[in-house]
Amino acid sequence: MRMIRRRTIALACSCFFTAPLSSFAQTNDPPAAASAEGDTTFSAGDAAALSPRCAITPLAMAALRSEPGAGADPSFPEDQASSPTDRAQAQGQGQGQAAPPAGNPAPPSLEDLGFGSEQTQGSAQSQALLDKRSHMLKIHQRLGLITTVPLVATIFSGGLAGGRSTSSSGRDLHAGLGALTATLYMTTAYYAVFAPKLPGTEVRGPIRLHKALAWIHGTGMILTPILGAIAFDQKNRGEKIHGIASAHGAVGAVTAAAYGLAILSVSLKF
Amino acid sequence: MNKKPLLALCLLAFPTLGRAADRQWVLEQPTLTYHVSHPLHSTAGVSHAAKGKGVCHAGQCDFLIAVPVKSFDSGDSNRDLHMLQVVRGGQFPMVTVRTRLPEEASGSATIHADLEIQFAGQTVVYRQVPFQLATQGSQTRITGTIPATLSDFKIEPPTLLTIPVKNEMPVSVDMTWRPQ
Repeated sequence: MRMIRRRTIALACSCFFTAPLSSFAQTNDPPAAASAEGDTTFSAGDAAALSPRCAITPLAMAALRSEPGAGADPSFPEDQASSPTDRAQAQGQGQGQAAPPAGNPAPPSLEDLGFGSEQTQGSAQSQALLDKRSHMLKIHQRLGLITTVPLVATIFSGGLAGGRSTSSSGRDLHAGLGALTATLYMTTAYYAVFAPKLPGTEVRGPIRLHKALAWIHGTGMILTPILGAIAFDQKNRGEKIHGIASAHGAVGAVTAAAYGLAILSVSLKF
Repeated sequence: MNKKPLLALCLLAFPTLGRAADRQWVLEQPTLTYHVSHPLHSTAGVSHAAKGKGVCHAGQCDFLIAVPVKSFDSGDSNRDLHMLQVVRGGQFPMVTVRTRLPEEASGSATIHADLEIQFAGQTVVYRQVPFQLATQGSQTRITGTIPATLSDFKIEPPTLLTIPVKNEMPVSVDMTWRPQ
């Protein structure tokens, strides 16, 4: 009789001590996650009551089965309780990584690695900023390439506009192409200048040369049409091109060269 | 006979004893390098910012390696920012790799690992990826290449001069692990 009493006390104590164990197994998982499995719909407290795998578990299970809403055949909470890490794995396309058996230490998490939430949590705003930046720079790249066509045509038509040629149609063509080039160029530049800047980003690599060359061809794209307009007027008055206007061709050539180099600086690896 | 319930009581009273890891590994000196190829030139982006941990129990080790996407440096800040955009790094700032390996694998010269990679909002499993192991003292160096592709992660190939980069994006891995 005494022996039976001792065993009963020991058994009761063992169940008392295993209750926190079951609660521990459930704390990482909200009740919704358990119900999402489709097995049973029970609260975290119900799950805790189901968990102890001790000698009296079948008895406790039988008692719970008789409770309303306890489900017909609840699985062990170890099957339903999963850490956030496990859930992340389950959401993936591939599985292949079985959940650790009960009693195993939890697999490492990002927090274990020392990454703070500010590093691991993404934001839609950051992505939107990146998207806008990339979108504008893609347009910049396309327009920049398109601009090379009238730019090259302007260079070649320059032979018809200057020198001994007196044809006004040649000058008009050159001026028209030049104006188109300058317009496209300014539009191209707009998309680069007004693309969102990301704070704290250090400019490194070939993009530095690309940006440095922009100061040369940018200045040239302003000066060349001005000098061209002066030269155009001088030629229309029947004068020989003189003064500052005589630099129009040279400035245009430097501008075109800097522009070409700027494209190559981000296209070729050197 | 009388001691058995007491023993059971003690075991049950300290449930965390059964949860303790047998061994843990910590990542040191990591180098991850992605390679992308374009008809005009090839590019490699390197990161040394990966962190990793392995927890071993009952002969099995769960490893987690994570690296911020923005830590990859290709030598061109403009390219890096564009990479960050195409891989949706603003929304999904981390790359995580999980794998489970038998503990005795640390003694092998080559291991084949199933890697579960979360990147760019996608989770992809690469099965039986070979890695070479070299043990020096207590440290184990692991090298290998993950045969990743852009399409695996639903990444739209970036273009340069309207020409897209190749779909292949192998990632070279060079990591040194030490037991904690």
